Amino acid sequence: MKRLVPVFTAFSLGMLGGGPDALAAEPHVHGAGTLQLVLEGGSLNAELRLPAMDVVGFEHAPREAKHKEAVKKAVAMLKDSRKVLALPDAAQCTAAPGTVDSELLKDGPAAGHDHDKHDADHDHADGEAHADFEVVYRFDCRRPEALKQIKVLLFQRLPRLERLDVEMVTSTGQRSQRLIPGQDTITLP
Amino acid sequence: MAILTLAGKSLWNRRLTSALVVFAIALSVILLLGVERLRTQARASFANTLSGADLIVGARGGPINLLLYSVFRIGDPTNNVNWTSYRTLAAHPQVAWTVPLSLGDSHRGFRVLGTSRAYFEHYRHGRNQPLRLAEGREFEGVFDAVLGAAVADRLGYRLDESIVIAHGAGEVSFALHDDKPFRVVGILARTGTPVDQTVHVSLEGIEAIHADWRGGAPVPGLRLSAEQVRQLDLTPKTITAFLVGLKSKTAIFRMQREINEFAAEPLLAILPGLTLQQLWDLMGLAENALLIVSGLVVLVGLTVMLAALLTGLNERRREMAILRAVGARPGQIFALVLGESLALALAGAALGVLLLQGALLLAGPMLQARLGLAIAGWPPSSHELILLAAVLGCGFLAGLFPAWRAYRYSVADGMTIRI
Repeated sequence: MKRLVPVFTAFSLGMLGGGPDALAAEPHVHGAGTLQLVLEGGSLNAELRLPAMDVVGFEHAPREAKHKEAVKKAVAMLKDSRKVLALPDAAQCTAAPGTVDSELLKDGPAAGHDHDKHDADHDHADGEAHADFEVVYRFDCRRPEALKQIKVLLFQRLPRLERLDVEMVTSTGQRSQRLIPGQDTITLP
Repeated sequence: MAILTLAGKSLWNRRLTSALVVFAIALSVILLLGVERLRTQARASFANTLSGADLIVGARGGPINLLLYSVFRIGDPTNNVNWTSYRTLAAHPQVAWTVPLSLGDSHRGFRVLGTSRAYFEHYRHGRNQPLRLAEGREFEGVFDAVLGAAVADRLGYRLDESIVIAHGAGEVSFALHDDKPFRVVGILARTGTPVDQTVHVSLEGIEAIHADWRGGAPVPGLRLSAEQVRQLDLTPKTITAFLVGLKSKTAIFRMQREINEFAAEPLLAILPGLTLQQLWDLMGLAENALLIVSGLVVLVGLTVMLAALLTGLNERRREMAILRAVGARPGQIFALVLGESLALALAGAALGVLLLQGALLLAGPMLQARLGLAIAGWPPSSHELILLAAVLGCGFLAGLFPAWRAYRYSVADGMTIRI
């Protein structure tokens, strides 16, 4: 274990309570996104993570105008939860606006593919050739018991996306499900 | 009606062959249903072992490995968790409760689990059922032990008995902590989970029996008595893993990430339900292979029946011809042979179900005691009924061929004299 500690510290991205920046240590596979759902009481939280490659087709900081435009369009689409998740009407859910975060939205060359100056104190010390889009949705449902199935609309909008691994936690249990184009409906436990 | 009596008598006339056919089908049905029963019940048993805990945290390694050793006492951890890391995470504002788990010692083949009293308060199995004491109380002192139901049963322990814990996990161990025996203060009610197979002691107890040990063996010349050990600081230095309950499930994935990125030590947090599902996905392949093999055995059983019916028809040319001669219609002959195969398949399936129930009744207590696997016998699940229906359906299909032959050839066959 002692041998592992230095290796780990090199990879560690911030202490406990590290914000979404720390997510860069998560696996990054092109074509594969993840969606984590938690349903507690009437509130449904959804965290979506997609490789930027599958959303906009590149993972470097957008310098040209057309890249900037693509990122802007993607953010607008992802912000609108109704374009991503279709909840059953019977559940009577209202959505708070989604928050979108991505390395591509940060100013400056931070997220570039060039490993230029090594900045040890910076959160993005390692493995920054990749970028993700992270979106957080929150729904408040008046009849959460009617939330049996959720349809994911991403596959039509993002043709590069090949699969979405869904992990869900409700009061009745924990379940995972893999969605692929054509099988895009989540069944809650 | 007459034709039914005749069919019965004809079968009785060939009772040895018929009985063998029924037995062959019964054996194949036992295998098919047994595999199915074992598969579903093992799944249910695993799923019922832990409920209520949001996360399990252990040293970094495989998630399935962590789940297996921490909850099911299968396999061994790759590493331990530092006590300070545990305390830091237990004090996290999102954490409602934690249950520390410390494994590594055993008592006559049963694992010894060092834990805190939070275990009795927060451990849940089945549908959120808490642990219940059948006798006695929870542990309080350093050398108190609470036994799982199967441990008390198998070893015949009562309250106040003193037990010696062995170092390591083997059934036969030469490194005994015999200078510091534990006293049985409580026996848990049966849960049908690995809890039944476990001896529970306090974390301080685990620390105490190792106080005069270094590097897995007693230090020569250093022998601390139970009394002396009590005076020492018995805060453990490491634990094997711990269960976490959160104040709000909403934080579960965030908490999992925070623990996985814990800077002081490489830790792994898993969601037990998700990891169990991963395990089943892995096992699914083997399970399907088993199911296919047992399906093939059913096919063999039915082929035996087909062979018996076809040879039977050869011997029964006269019988069929006479039946036709006294006025039986070809349709009746067809129904006679088909009905016979269906009756054989039905009898085989029924005998198979009965034998399986008997076997489960006999082997059930043994499986429960040895593997902690509770296998319920009756009633058959809907999936098993479907499998049985499939067996009967195949029996019907297998009967069509001899029935058709009898239908087609009964007259010509019986009347042509061949010597």
